[in-house]
Amino acid sequence: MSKEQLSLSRRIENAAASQEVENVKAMHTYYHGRSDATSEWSQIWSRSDDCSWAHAFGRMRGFDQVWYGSVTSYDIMAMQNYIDVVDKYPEVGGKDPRPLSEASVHTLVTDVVEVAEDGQSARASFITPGVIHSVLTGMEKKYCNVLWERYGSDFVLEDGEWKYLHEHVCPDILTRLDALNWAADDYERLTNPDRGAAPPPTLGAPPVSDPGPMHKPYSTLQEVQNTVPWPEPYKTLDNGNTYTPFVRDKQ
Amino acid sequence: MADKKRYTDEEMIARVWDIENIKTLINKRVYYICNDRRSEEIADLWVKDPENKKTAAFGRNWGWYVGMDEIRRYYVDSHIERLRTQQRENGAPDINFGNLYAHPASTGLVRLADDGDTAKGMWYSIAQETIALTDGTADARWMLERIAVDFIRENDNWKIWHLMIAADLNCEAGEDYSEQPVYIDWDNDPVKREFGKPTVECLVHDPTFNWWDDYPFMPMPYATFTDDLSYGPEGFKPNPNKGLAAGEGRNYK
Repeated sequence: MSKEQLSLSRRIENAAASQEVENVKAMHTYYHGRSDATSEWSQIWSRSDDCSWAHAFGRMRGFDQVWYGSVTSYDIMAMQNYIDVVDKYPEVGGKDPRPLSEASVHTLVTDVVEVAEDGQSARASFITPGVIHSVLTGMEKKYCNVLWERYGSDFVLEDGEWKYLHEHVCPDILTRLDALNWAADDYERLTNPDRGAAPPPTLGAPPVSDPGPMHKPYSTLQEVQNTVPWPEPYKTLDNGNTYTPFVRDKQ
Repeated sequence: MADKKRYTDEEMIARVWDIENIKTLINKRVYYICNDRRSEEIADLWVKDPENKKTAAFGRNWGWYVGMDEIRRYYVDSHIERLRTQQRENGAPDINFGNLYAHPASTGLVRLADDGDTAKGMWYSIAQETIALTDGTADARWMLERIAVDFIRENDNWKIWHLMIAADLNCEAGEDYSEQPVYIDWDNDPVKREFGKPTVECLVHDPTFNWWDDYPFMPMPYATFTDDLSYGPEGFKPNPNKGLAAGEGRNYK
């Protein structure tokens, strides 16, 4: 069935749904900007065993593992950062440590959104030319990093609300605003063994079900990676139309 | 959060259309800024109803200009005055000679009220402004900012009612931001100086603490507009547990 054969009601509902999932995606950005993982995973995520969150380091599967990696572990890093910061800047005492860790703002552009013909799921790809900045740090230096990533996101309709089901984050470049050159840095690392390995493109590496690498950050030796291709029109969320293959039969 | 309301097909497609029109409106504002056509922006995009004009607000980190007369005085008249001074000092053939502005809007989040009379939106901009200097060079800056907007329907057209631009940082292009002093020098901040003395003066977003202050707050689903939801001054509620300000707390020894 082509989109044109869908009922007018279904097409209208799907048009509204495409706007809703863009909002869900933007909510992720604004919650993450405050390092408020609790709100993000409490309010906009499905609690299904099928949910997943993937990054270069691998893929977490099932809500419990996603929560542990994305909320529990993330908050621990924020608390550890806070201990370093409060030692230098006593004015942070009494403030929520999480947003003090950094403002990680994954801005969203270039949306491609497809809502399933059955209206029960939606798929979307985005590019984020984002920034990560923080003022008070344990190093007593503020910073502004530039982080470009690609996203492949699946959403499901649960009790009339659109929820995240799968997220696949593909980091491409991470650098310091107007201070570093990611290509020159990689070349230097490759040609000068004393430079050591590249820094990780994300904070931490929580336990995963599907080990990485799921996507490789930029290297002067890399090939083109189409890790999260844009979604095509589709009927229903299945193994042919998802950013995370299901590992068990869907009933 | 408002209860999930059911809509007919006709109502739902009208709401979809409204949201697309609001996105277009905010994108038009970006192009007005690119061409520095502030007066046309106000005439085209901002409220016209006399009652709405009284309560219109244009805010930045340090407060709001309230009422369209005050907004015009700051946003248009003072700006033109500065540009004429710059033209004279630079010996330029016209105003804005050597200047460039771009505040593209990304990460759109638009909430249309259940009653369809108002809407709220949030965007993030990785912006730049380049201002020509007297020696032939220019001050080129990155400007990172959250944009929060209240829209109101007037004669079936969407208009900007309250606008809050909460800057996170501005820094000279090509300079290592991490080598700058940690604390923000508000007295010499070019955006703060440009903003002048607003109608309602108060620090609403201090990026020293990143997004800890949670302002402007993210728009959530809502039934109908009330003052406490406003991105104007009436909707600003300082955190009662705000603790210490930047640089305080060093006298305990």
